Amino acid sequence: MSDLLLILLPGAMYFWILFIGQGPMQEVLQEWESRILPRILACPVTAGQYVLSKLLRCFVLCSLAALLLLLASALLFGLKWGNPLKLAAVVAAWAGSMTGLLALIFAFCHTREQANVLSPVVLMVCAMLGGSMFPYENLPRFLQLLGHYTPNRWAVLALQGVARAKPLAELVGPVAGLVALGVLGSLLGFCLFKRRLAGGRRK
Amino acid sequence: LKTVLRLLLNDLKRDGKRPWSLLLLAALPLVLSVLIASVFGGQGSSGPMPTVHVAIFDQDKDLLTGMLRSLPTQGDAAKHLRLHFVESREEGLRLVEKSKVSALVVLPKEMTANLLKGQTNAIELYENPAEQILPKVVRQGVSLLALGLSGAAETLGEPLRDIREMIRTNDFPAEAAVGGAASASVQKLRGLRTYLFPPLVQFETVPAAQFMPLRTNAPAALPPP
Repeated sequence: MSDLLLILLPGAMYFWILFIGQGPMQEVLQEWESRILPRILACPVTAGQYVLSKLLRCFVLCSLAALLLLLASALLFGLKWGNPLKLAAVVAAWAGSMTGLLALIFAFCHTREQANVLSPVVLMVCAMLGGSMFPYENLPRFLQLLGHYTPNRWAVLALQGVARAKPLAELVGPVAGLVALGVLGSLLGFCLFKRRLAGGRRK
Repeated sequence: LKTVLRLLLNDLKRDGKRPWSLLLLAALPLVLSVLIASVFGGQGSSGPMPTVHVAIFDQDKDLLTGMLRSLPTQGDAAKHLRLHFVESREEGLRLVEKSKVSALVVLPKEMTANLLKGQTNAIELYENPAEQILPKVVRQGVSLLALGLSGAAETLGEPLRDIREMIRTNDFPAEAAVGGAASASVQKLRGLRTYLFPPLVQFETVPAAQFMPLRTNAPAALPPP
């Protein structure tokens, strides 16, 4: 069973941990809509600090969830996830990319309702194309081509690469994709959120 | 940064006080993956290989189909293949309907004679629609069998014809005839030596961790053809 779990679990983990990471981002919109945010910002807290704390919380929650799942699967089913140092780097890349992706999605939404519609759509499409729901190898060729550019696919390749002790050169591509998404998505999400919250506009 | 960390710690403390929803969400991928792995993976690689049950309606009852009867008693086939020889098509179909077999194979009349004459034969295959994988295994097996029989008839046609005649006459065969058939067979097989001895295509079991999909994994000791 452990061989099959090694194929199934990385994709499923990435998909479901994204739902855990949604919490902090949803809170930004919720506190914005329920007018709690102006009260928070009336304290010696800037909009930038507030958004940054939410992004960091998303990163921490995603990292903890990933570590918990890796540990639980290793203890319960004897899965060997490979070199701990490489694993830590991949978990950090996972959490960073999740933060970036969620920050982007939620920063583009003006209300919680919009986010509640857009977020599952984006996450589901990425999960289907990236092999989180069914084996990537079973997808038709053109969908495989699309799926190759989803964070889910990079995440699966990176974690399976570490577990199967693949050479470092094979891990660089997927991890670089995850890190790039994390950095760019977080930066863009941070700027969009900060501009909107600092401007005080409410749609 | 101090403010950011304070905000972060406050939020994390709040999460820590009500961790159940987060833990439940975190447990979902593990639970779902284990369920899927249990359904599709069974006991994994250590689990037993299923035995394929196939009904055979042999209308030929000649040399080549007689060889088929000895197949499941040899090697690994004895463990994983069970042939049920039936006396009519209806009996075979009944076994398929009752899901006692994964498929029914009907070997046509005069199959051996026609093959040795170089004429085309049609093997009928009825797959059990209630099963997913095993009937496809049988279909692949029958395709392989057809290819093998066709190749054997084409390559060893003459010695096979002689051997068949010797069996059919019911007399003790002459030494010269046996020697002739054996000699012709060896000569034919000698022509195939490059491909068969040792086989040009070989299988090797490689641990999953060492599997390189883009490389050949060719065994180093394989002699050149």
